[in-house]
Amino acid sequence: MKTTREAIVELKDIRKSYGEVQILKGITLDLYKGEWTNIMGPSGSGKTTLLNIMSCLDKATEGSLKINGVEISGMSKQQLAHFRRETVGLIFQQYHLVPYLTALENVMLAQHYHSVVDEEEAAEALKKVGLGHRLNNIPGRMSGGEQQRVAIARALINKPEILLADEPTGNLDQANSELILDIFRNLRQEGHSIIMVTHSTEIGTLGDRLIQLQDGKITSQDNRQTTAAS
Amino acid sequence: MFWRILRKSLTTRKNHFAVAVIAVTMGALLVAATCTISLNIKDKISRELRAYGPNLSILPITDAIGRENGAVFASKGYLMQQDANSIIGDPDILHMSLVLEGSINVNNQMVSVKGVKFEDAKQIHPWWKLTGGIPENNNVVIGQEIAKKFNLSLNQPIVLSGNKTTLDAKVAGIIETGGDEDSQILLDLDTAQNLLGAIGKVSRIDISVLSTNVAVENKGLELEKKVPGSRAKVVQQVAHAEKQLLGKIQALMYFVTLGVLVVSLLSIAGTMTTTVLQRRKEIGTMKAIGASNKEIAKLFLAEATVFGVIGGLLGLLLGYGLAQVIGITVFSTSVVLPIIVVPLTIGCACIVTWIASSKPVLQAVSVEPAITLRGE
Repeated sequence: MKTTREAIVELKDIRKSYGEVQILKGITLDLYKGEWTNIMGPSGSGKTTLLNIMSCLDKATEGSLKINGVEISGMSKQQLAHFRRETVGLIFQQYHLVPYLTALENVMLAQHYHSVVDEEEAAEALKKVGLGHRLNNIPGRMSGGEQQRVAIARALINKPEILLADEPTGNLDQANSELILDIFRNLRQEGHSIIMVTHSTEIGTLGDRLIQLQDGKITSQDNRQTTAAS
Repeated sequence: MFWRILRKSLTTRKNHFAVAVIAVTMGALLVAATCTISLNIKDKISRELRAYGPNLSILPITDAIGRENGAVFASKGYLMQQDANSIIGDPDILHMSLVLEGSINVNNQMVSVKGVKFEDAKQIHPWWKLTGGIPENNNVVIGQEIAKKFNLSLNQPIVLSGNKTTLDAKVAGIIETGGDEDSQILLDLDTAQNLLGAIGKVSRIDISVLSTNVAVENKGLELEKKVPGSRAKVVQQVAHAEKQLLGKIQALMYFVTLGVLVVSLLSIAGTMTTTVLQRRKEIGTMKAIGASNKEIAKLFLAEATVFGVIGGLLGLLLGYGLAQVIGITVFSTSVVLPIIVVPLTIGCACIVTWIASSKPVLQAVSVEPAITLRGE
């Protein structure tokens, strides 16, 4: 059974400059609900900047950005923060967990800023990524792979519309990378919309779509799958 | 969850926590000590300053003026001793001394005499230097100049001739005051009243008013009403010097406290700025996962409040201890903790901490997650 693709992120002529330096030079792109999109490019190509704009952490200098049909390019920082916590789940290469909080508390922290803290639900999210036995460990006592799984549980806890990941396996060994990619495969199967920045060709071939960036411009769009499985 | 974050954030950075609390404690300690001493010792300082002598005299309204055989005469007016006794026991009066002054004849020379109750006079003039003893049995104390003038020494006889009576006395003591008393003969008030023919009368009342609760001028007005036919005269030099000294001591204490509070403020500001810089990634992470600026500010202000309250309480305890030490060693008295000092110290500690934290909190709020969390 095939369905029409529904755009969840719509970028129109997005430009970003830092002073005289132009990082993004007119990105026009639609990303679709339920798809796993990888963004690849060499260092300095603007892929992290593009991800930051899509995750509402940064604002474009010019252009239009719609997420789930909502125009966000004119929003204030405060509105963006509110929109981000309602819509987006973020995963970073460096994990970025709060060092003095346990795995469980790190997940609960996202609940706290979103709405209501539910300890059982947070514990369940950690069990789902295989960390049911590490709930009360602080990040410093966990491996990189485990910390990244905590970060994934934290990103998913508020059921975001989009999951954005910036090099999520960049700091991990092969075994842990595989573990994390398996989680992403499962998430894709469950119908989550995933946008992942990577410079690994191997990971780039995973997912539904590969966007290649170079010097702030899209150089290719490889659509392996034009429709999402329902 | 907020309290959990706050508790863990504070307990994780124990050094930072200790430095901030110590900085607040130092300021709060001085606030507590200064206020406790100021409120307790004002009375004690006032009593100490009473060693300067009387600061108020109650005098007859007028000396008697009349005309006799066509000539104008003036004679000393008097207060009635029984009226003067009515003010004994007034809580604002530390010491009082009834004085009767007049002139008598010694070896055919007129000499000024002063009748006093010696115990009262010694209390109100503690600097009087008396060689010998307090006179008994109608004996007298003579000023050092009188002793030289009449070549008198201790236990030698002296004859005082009044209007109608004569007193055969002995020199019980020789006094040195640096004032009028050096050229006077001092004798017991009752004896002086008999000798001068002024039974039940006094020339003035010298008073040491405790200015802790009442201005000397106001006390004078109050006493004027209690003693008929009297007028109050403030000994301006003493009252003014006392007021000035008290004010200066308090101003000095407040300036020292203010200085220490400023040092505390700078120290707290430095500590808070350092912690914000160290926690930029943590702040960026919190913002990235949805914390608003208000929530970030709330966390740091809550931390500052904890520093303020704990530092304030520690400062209160240590400050009270310091006030006790100062009270006992300097003023020879223990002090009690006035209840107002508790909220005052903790309030001051919190306000100083909040002011010190305002800039670091603004820095925390302005952290840009996109920049802070950029992957290395």
